[in-house]
Amino acid sequence: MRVRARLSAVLVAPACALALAACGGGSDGEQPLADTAPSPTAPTASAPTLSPSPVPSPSAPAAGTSAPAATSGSTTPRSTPTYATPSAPVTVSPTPSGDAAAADDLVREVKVTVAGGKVTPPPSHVDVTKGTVVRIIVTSDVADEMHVHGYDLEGELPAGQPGSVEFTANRTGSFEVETHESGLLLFQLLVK
Amino acid sequence: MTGPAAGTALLPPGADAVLAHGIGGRQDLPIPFSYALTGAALALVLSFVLLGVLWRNPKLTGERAGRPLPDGLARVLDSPAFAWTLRIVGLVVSGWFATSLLFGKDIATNPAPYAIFILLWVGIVPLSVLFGPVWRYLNPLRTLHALLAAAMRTRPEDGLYPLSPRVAYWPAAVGLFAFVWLELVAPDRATLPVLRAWVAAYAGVHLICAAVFGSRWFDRGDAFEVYSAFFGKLSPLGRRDDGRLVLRNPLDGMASLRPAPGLVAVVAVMLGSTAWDSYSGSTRWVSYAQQAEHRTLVGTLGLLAAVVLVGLVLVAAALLAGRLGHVAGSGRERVPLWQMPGEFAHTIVPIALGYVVAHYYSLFVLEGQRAVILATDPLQTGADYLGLRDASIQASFITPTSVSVLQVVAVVTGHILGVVLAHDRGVRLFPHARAVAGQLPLLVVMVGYTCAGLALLLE
Repeated sequence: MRVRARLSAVLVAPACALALAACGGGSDGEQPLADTAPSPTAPTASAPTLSPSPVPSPSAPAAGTSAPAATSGSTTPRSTPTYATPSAPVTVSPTPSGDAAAADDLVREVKVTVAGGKVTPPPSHVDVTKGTVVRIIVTSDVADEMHVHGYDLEGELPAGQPGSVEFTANRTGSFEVETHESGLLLFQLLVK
Repeated sequence: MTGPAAGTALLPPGADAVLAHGIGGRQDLPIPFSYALTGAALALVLSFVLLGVLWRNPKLTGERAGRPLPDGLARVLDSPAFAWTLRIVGLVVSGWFATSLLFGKDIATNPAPYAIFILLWVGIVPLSVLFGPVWRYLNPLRTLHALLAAAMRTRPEDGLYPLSPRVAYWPAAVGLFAFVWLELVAPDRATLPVLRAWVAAYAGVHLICAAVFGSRWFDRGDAFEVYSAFFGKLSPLGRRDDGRLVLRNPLDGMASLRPAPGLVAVVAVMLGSTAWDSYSGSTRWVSYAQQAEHRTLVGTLGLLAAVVLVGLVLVAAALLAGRLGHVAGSGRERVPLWQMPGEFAHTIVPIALGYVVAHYYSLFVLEGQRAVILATDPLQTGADYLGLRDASIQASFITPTSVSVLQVVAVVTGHILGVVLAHDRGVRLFPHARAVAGQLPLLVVMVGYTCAGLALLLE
């Protein structure tokens, strides 16, 4: 009987390990969000792209703001400039001053679109290391609010226009980023 | 470093922020894959090693085990004064938070949701594991019922009708499911109107049932008392069958959980709901569920499926174990095959405890502090009754590595306790020659539960 038990141990062990590996492999295979890779902030170069902050003229149409992106597209090609909505205190930050610390600074930009109750790209994990500056840019087809759980940050999302939140990820853990009105999970921010 | 925009866009003080996703904004990071693999391998190897080296004759004596406490201590703990002290503590603390629930503002600084989801639901577990079925004493509903009975000059034990023994744990299983549904599925579950409705319904049902059936209704009908009693079986402090308070091997305590109708259902809710809590938070599930038309329905069905799956797997494995172990033929104790699931249900409790610790440890430590701090201002009027307004949440000892290690250790430890319990029950029920074969189905199921638990921690 004990021989049989050991035999089954020999058989079950690899099977279980395989199953587990398959499980974990599946989760690893999740598609990363279409965000720009962590890029060192280039204070001077990126300034034009983000310069509509801190207080843009509320009437500035989206088309108008896309012009600077086209001209200075070399630094952050895929980022449409976003601007602070009047009610969200400071969503696009001034770029860090070029002191010694700035060399370590990484800005992780995550862009999400919400249309018809559908989140694009589909909710997934975004991994950042502690201390990274995270910039979340969300465009929703209906007026909404985004909420970064745990950090308790909120950003207005006017219908059809990108709204953003920027903060330093200085607490480790997993944090849900979601919309308030529609209650959609946009992604999980993993701060390691 | 201090980021340029750190702390900007913070909620304005007193913002009408609703905790849209329940309590606690922070969750644990997924554990490293290597940790999960190590845990699974450990669980697997230890399971079969234990099967080979553990005792051949049953050792656990359940309710008969234990060394009596010193007389003086036992007399104090058993005294009516001590029981009433605990009851009054329970009444005062729950009254405090009930005030917040009923009369507080529906804003993020109201402590009521924290009291229900953190202090009660999670806090009851460590308290019970340390001291036994504490909720039996703290339960404000039981105390209210006792006070009402006293006011009407009747004994609380007396009901209008006898309670059929066939009911047993079923009301608790239903109540537990109702609570985990509130915790994990209900829309706007952290808002006061929803919590008020739920608490009012729960209290109403149980007070009426206690009036009809007497206070023994709470023993097996109250979800939180049963939850506390089951985890309390793992406490080193227990009551022997002769009524004496004893110190005992937690495994003996756990083995004293005897089969009764609804037992398997309670255990399935305990384990299945925690598993569902993990799974339903994964991006994989969320991306599916939030596209669904009826989110509440989908969530309810998912939770129900998790509970039913855990229960069915346990029942199937126990029946197969009885078959392979020839239990009905020539066991030491003639137990019919259909009772096998109940005989082995207690082995799932330590596994559920492992899940609970892994899942709620950091939440309890962090949000439990918040609950106490918020309690200083029960009506959100700016009061500071407990002098805690300026206290801050201590989080420095919650590091990703320590949490991950603790999670894996908890899950694997729960697994090992479950295996040992199943082994002892196996050698008690099955004839010598069939004991190992009889244990295999449950061993496989437990390894499965453990691997699943670890896999969920990867999400």
